[in-house]
Amino acid sequence: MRGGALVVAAVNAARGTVLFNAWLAAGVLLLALVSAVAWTWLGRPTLERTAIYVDATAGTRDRFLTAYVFSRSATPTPLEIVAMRECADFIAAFDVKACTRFRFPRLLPWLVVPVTALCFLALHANMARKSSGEGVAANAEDDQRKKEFEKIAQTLDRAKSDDLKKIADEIRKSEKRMDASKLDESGKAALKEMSSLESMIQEMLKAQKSSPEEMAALAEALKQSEITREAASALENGKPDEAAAKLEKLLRQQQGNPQLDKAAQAVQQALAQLAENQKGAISRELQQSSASGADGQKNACSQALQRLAEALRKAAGNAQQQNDTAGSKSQETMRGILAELQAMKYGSQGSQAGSDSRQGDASAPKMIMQSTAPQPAQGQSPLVATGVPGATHGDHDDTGTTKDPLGQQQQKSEGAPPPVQLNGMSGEGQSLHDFMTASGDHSQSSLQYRQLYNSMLPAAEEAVMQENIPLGSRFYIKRYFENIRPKE
Amino acid sequence: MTTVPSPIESEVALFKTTFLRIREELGKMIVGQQEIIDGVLTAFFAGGHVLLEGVPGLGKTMLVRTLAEVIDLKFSRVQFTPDLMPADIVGTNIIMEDQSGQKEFRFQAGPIFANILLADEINRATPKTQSALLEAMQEHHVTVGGTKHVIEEPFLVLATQNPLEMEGTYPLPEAQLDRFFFKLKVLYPSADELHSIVGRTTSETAPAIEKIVRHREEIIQLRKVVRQVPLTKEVQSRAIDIVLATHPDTAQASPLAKKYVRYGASPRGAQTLILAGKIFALLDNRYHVARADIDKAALAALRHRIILNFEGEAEGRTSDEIISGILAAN
Repeated sequence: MRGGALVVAAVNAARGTVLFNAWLAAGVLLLALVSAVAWTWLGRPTLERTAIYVDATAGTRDRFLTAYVFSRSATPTPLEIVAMRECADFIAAFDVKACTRFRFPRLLPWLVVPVTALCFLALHANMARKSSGEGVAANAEDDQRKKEFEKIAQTLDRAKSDDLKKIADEIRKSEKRMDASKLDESGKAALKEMSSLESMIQEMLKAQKSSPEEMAALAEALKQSEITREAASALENGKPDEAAAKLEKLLRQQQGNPQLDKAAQAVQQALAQLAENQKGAISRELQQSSASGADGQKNACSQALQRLAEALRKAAGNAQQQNDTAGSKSQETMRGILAELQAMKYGSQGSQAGSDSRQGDASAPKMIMQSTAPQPAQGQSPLVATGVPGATHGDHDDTGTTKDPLGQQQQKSEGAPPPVQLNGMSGEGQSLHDFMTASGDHSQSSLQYRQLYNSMLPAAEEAVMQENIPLGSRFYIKRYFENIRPKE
Repeated sequence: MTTVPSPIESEVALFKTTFLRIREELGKMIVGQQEIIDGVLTAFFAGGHVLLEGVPGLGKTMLVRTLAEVIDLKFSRVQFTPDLMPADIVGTNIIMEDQSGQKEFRFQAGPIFANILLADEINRATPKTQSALLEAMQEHHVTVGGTKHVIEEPFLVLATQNPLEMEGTYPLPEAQLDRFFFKLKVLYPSADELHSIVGRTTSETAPAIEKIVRHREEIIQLRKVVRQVPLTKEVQSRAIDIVLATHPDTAQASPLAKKYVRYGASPRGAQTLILAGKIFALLDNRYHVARADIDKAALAALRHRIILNFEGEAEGRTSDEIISGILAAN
């Protein structure tokens, strides 16, 4: 107790200057130790008191005390001398080891107080240090995120596309909402919006994905036939619309030419190879359409070339759009935006991967969505988590009720029919009615009696406490008043 | 090399031997009740009187009679009734005619003039008669017709009272209860003890009792030995602290005493504790009194010296609970 008081005093004295200091703690402990030793020395017992302690501890029937007291007697009586001798003999044969067993110091548990206080101080200091560090890091992260948002928005603003400007506006709104709400419900909504933005950008990127390798492969395939070389050179020159026009023209003029079929077969092989590798949008699209039509139709080759022409025209349209959005530079910018959005959504660790997590890529960061709605366990129906009765079909625990003793509040559908009251019919037989009154207190109020009892009780107690009442009667009087006490 | 015992050591040894032999002889007649036998003998050697409380038929009279037989002292018994008069106990002066024809008053000694007196059902006599007895107990003499008649030592009164039939009785006042050294509660014997009692009392031959002390002077000498046993001031303080703790108005009062005691033990209580402690010490092969000896004597020595208040009586508290609380607290 005293040690604890000393520690508290020392800590109070040092409060405001240093929150926790190991040297201070050691000093306080040392001070407490020195104080305890000094206190013990000053309060040390006398020899007589020590003898009493020893006798009490060892169960020696006051022999130490008797021997000590009688030995100080100037003129001991014969029986005192005999008593001293008996005590001395007993003490000489006394097994001291039995009394010197290690015992847990009686006051040692009080050491828990200062030690606990020091532990709490250290814990508090660590927590304060940690929380201040976390606060600084969180602020820096917020600033960084704001800067990234602004950077994306400015990049999108520079683009000429209205869609991208719209995305920039959405990003700014989401940023403001996240900043204000710090990932509460609005923050979660903002995260969802960012996810939808990410999807939009990915769709746009997918639409633009007619890669140069694909064009080169198609050009190579078209070169194999004499009649399609012009289209191949146009394709190599990066003019897919011109290549498409030439192919259409060729299809109109050279219908039935065997070389056209040869060229169509080469194109189909190249497309199949490209589609296997998922290299480009055109090859994928053409492969899908050709798969549905590759059932030995007569003019399959010409149709394949026709579809290639259409695809090239479409790719030419996308290329035109690319030119409108600053071409490949814009595409790179959008990829960058996508990566930034994913980084912001998943945190800094996910910024490196930059791929769509919803495609099942194991290396991609998983989307973490917080929700207040009850989440189903793994392998459990979503209905179970919502507490809908009967959601656990086949489950032996399903009793048709919710696990909540008060039941879950159910949404009442608007189209539900109103409750119908069913009226029963009385039987034709006779019935017997009887009224029984409760025996209890006959429904009589005991208020007046209680008031009377309470007013008389002090006088009764005073009278009972008088000593002139015979001893044998007091118990019965008190019992009487106990019995007539009104029931609560 | 054996040391020759000093005279005092021999006397102590004689006391212990005598005490143990008397106890052994009493044990031949009284089955069980070891605490009662020890208490009676302790009071006897300390020079006090004993109040035995118990239902009839537990061997109280047998105990006293056997004790008188073992010690070879004069024994008398008085059955107390409401019409018993003081003169019936202490005696009276009667007119006697001598050989010359002169008439004179001569003192006819009552049953109190004995070494061991059994006052059976003492609470059935009137307070006047009780007072006559209790005066003799304290002073060891009676005064009849202006003449003091001394009762020879040793003088031991064993009074009994039945705790059940309280109708028509005169409970002993506190001042008179204080004259008793011990109040012992005679408990009902156990099944095994009952077997032994029935076996002994229904057989053809009764056990032979040996006389251990043939002269009353021996008893007086042994009583002196008891009083020589030394004790330290700490041990004496223990006895005094216990007695003071029974008084609700003192600083040492225990919580139970403050609540349930109207008046605590008298100084005679402390004297009793120490005297009994001395005998217990000698029986424990010690020549000094320990605090444990004081504690051992506390219940029997103080239970009749504590007067409970209304609260204590109404709640059914006993003085034994108060004393046990004090011993546990100190």
